[in-house]
Amino acid sequence: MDNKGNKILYVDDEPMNLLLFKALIGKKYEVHTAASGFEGLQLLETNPDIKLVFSDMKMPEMNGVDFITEAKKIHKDKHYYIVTGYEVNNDINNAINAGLISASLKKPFNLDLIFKTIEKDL
Amino acid sequence: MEAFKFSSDPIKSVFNIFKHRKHQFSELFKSITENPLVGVYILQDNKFKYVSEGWSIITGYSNNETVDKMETLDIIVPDDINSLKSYVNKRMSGVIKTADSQFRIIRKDGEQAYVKVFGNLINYNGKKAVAGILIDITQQHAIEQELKDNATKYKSLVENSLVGVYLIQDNRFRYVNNHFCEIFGYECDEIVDILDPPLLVHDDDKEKVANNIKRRLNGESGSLKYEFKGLRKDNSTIYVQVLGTTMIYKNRAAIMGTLIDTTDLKLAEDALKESEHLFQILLNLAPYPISVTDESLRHLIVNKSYCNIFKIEEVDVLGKTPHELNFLDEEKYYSNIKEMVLNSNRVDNWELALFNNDGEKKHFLYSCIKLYYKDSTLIMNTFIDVTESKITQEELARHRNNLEILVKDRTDELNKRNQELNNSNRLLLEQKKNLEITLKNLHTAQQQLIQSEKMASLGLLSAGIAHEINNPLNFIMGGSLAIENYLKENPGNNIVEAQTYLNAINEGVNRTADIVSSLNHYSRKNDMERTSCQINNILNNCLTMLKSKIDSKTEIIKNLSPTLPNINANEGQLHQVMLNIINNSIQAIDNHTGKIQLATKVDDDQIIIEILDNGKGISKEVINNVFDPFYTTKEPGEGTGLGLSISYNIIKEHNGTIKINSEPGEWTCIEITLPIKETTNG
Repeated sequence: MDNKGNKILYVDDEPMNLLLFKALIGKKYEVHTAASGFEGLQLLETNPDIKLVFSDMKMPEMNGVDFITEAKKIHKDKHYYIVTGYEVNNDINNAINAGLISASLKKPFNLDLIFKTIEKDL
Repeated sequence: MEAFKFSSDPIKSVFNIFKHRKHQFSELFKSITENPLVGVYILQDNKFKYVSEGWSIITGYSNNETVDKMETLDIIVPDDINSLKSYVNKRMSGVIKTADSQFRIIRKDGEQAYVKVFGNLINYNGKKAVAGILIDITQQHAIEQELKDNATKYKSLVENSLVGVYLIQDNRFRYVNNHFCEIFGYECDEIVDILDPPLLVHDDDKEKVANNIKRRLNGESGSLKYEFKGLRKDNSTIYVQVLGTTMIYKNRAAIMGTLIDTTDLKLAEDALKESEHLFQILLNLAPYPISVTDESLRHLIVNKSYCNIFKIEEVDVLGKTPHELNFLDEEKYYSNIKEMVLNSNRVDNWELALFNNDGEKKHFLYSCIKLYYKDSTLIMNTFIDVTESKITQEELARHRNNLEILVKDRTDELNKRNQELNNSNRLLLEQKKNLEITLKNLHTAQQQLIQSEKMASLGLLSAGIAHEINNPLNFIMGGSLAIENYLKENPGNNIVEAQTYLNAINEGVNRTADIVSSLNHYSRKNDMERTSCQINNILNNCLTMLKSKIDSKTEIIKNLSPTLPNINANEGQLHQVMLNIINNSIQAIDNHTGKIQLATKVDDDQIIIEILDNGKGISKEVINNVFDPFYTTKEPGEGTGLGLSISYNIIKEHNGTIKINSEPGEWTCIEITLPIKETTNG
């Protein structure tokens, strides 16, 4: 099946991560990237058909949970994920428990897990 | 009748008186012839021609029985016939004076009688006849005989006396008996009438003796008894005692006396005196009081020491008993002494307290012995004055008693103090124990604080580091994956060879990611948070984290149960526990080829985790302390001594148990149990 039409947003302050995510996931899905939460929010404005949102946790000015919190206020129908170099921390746990995010994924990327997650929630 | 005239012959005189003055004296004659004590007779032709009434009374024969019938031989005692004949012949031949005119006759009643006869020749009826008078001297004779016997007796007595007898007159011995001579060693004839009495006296006593003789002769003294030193013929000295008395001898004053040789007696007496003197000296020289008493303890002799000690004059003691002198302390002493003397005749070193005359109490060692002397019983008593030592002794005893009391008081006091101290000590110990518990608690709390602080900072740090590492790792990983994809999309290149290198990159990334992940687990910030944990994963994580420390020769054996359920637990803390324990095992194994065996299994409602190593083990002394905080056998810097303590607390918090067993030099095994279902108390 062609998943090219399924839009996925990835937010990370590291351009390298954005590049690699696009290179690895973009083969199967239409990946949009944003270098910050603000940028991510703008992208969501302009691309309301984005179904899945992956965000780094630690970012300047607005971290992943903050960004997702803001995004979810406007875009409730989307799945949100944290992709982080951290082990699970309280903010992430609380976000999972609050149903804010669907799952927390780790860096370095586990591609299998990412694809399974995407397939499950699309 | 002319023949009768006065003459020296009394009978003749009487007849002459009668013849011439018959008329005047017829009464007188009659009284004589009729005198019962005087018999008158006329003997003619050997026959009695006339006998008077006196004759009849003396002889018992009447006139008729005698006249013309009896002759002298009929009446005279046959033994005296010869002396009568001799008397008659003397008279016939004209001898007038004769003493032998006494004869014995036999009276008619057969009794003998002594008679004195005075006969004279006369003419009677123209024929020669003997006229005589006869006097009964029986009684007189008896007296004379007695006197004679007595004289003999006394003479014999005196002669044979054992006492010297002497008689001095005109400064000469007129009589001495045999013993007197013997005493002085002379013969009797050497003394009597010859020896001057002073010659028998020693010069020492001449004056005394002369004086005494003079006094007696002068009548100044009757009898005198005295002693003097005598001088024997051989010039040896003797002692004599005389008892002399004044008498009249041959009408003049004389001294008669008896004399005893007292030399032996004197010598014995001197010896006795000497010994008495010695005895006296000894008695008074003795430093101990000595007394001699009678049976009732009445004093007879006391020595000077006795008087000194008892502070009394000898005269005041003698004749009195200790009781009368108030010497006795207690009456029982007296009866005791008496009883002991009675039973054993002696008392030896008996302790006795007596009062002296000044009322001072004295202590003695008293001894006495009963002895018999001249039919009486005496008791000889000696006293050793032990007052001073007794007082010292008593004082010592008193001091000792005081000391004992003091010691007792002090001991009691000390005991009391000790008790108080013990109580305080117990209190202190209790407080100490409480303090120790508190301290331990504090320690634990402190450790936990330190640990949690450490963990908190480490958590922050490692979280940051993990994030910072994970991103670059993501670059590598992503890059590698991207290359792999690129190579797959652009065949022509040797994908197989490239794949090997990419795998190496991926392996490195994965391993690095694991370490970072473990660090994250270890330092999870929220300690109290419980999450679903897989113990097998935790053990693997720990092995991964410690991999660099595990020697390549060490064999890790894993017997992990594949069906081990997850448990709700604090993952970070369990990591900490497992890390600690495995790290200890690694350190215990040291340099030899070791084995670490990790096993997990389910037992009922709990998980059992066993971590076994074949390291050096833990000695018995140490094993009980290993869970104590800060207890460590490791070199400084290698361990804090907190690891097992924190582990213990963590397992406790999880309602689990942790046990350690070890065989020193062989192995150590730690067994942890954790409940599968979280209990509700947390």
